[in-house]
Amino acid sequence: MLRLLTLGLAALLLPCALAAQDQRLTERLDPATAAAVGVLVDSAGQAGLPTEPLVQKALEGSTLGANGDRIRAAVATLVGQLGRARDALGGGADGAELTAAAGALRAGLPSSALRRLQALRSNRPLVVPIAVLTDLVAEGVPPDQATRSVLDLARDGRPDDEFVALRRQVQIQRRGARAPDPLDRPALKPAADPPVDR
Amino acid sequence: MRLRLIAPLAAAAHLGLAGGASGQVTGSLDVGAGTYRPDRAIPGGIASMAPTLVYQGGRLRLGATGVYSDAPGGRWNFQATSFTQLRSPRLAIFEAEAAGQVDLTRHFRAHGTTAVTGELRLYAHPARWASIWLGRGAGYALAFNQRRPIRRSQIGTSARVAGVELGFSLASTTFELMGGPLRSGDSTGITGPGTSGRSANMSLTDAVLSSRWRIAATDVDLAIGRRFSPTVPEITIWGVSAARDITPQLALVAGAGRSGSDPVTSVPGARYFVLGLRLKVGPAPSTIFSPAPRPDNTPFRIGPALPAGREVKIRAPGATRVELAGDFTDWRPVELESVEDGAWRVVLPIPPGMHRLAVRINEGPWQAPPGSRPIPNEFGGEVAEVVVE
Repeated sequence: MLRLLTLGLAALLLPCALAAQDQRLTERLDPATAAAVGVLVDSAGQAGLPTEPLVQKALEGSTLGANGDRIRAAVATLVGQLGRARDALGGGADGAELTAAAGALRAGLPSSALRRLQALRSNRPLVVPIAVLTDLVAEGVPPDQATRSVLDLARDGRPDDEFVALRRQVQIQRRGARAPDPLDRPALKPAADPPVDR
Repeated sequence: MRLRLIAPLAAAAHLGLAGGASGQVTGSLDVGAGTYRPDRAIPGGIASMAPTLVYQGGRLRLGATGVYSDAPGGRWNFQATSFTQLRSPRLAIFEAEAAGQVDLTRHFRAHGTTAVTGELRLYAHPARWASIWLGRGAGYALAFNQRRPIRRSQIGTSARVAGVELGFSLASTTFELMGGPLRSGDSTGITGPGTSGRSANMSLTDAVLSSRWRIAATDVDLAIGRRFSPTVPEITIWGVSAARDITPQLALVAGAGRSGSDPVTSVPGARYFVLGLRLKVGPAPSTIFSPAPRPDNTPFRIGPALPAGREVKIRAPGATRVELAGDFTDWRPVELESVEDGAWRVVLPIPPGMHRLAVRINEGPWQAPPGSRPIPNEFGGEVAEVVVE
């Protein structure tokens, strides 16, 4: 009886849900995929998760030529990642932070690293530090070491620019060895006196 | 202070040659003071000014750097280096580089030296965190109206361990020495004019261990090595320098060390300690960090926010059509317009934040922009992720 009621309610609500669906989904996806993604987006919204990244994921799949099954699976996976990101950062995190945190978790960083970063940043935006952390790991820096470097900056209250500078520094270092560079000299090493001065 | 303008002019000439290419010019000016004790000259206090200008565009890198020093008694010295480096595309783990360098030294009441050297280098990158390189070069130094040949062989390796870049290099320089026998206690192997004019071949080999790291907004460089030679006493050479950012455009710099002589420029070795400020000039720090640029890729850049939006520029030489899609376009492809020399551009409203994007060249597959690090996605393709501030 309960099942029948549930199905009946779902049947009644489905047209409403489809009507409220993001127009971008209905325009760009086939009807079945749009409906399935729409359900995922709605449920995420009801759970307090940001929905725009889910729509974007579906649109990304559409542009890159993925079939409906892959798009549905990718959106469902992202819903799970956003949920874990919110578990790590709490309900106060905004959509951009949750999206960045989801990327960090996907890259293999532990939730504890995100929580520590959030505690050290104390109400300052987390997007850039998390993105830098994720990118360092993607660049091949061991997660422990990347986390330590980013947390050091956060602990010192450094602005976003310095996180970006850290990222750039790592880029440069990881390009590999170079032969001695004409600019590789000690800072301000003075020019020499002539060898004939006395 | 009679600042010689040779190096800046050389740099300007280089930059003129590079005009029109897409690249970035950066520079700095170090100003400081300290103590200086050369091997064969008068020790004392010294004031230094060191400008540096570098152009980086694709595989080409041009630069000039100089140090002007002023000592009590009106004695001044100027050293300048201008260089050109051109890298090849990367082939598997290998990469080649051709480098040319011009060194100038000018002194108060003394002849200077002009040296021109060229070098070919081969790099191997067996792992992302380690590289090996070999170099072989030749050139000549001109002083006292005599030209002395120089040959140089180098081998080195570097690795990144626990956040520290470590390097080891062996560099052997063979050159024709002007003048007579070396004086006792001279660690430099450099003699001055007025001697016999007799030439002799000489070689120096430097084995140097270096490290570089950044901690709490401070860049630290440390190097220690030993100089070997069959004809002059061995010496230990070392140097340590640190630059701490005070603001994005200003840093406090300090350096100390014991340098060996430079057989190319005939500059003697010295012990020194200097402290000063570094003024950074040129473009402000980038407002974007894009995935790691690879030397064999063309660059990709998102410019700063302007009233009309941000300029997205992609270099795709030979392309007939370039499209861009990302979350800031709702993944609708946007066509770029060809502007110059293989560059394509479009202006789009891109809000600050992290963005995913991909480009398509000549109707090919969607991929991460040239010069960015590709990230595999769930759809079997690749995109790039960038943060726009």
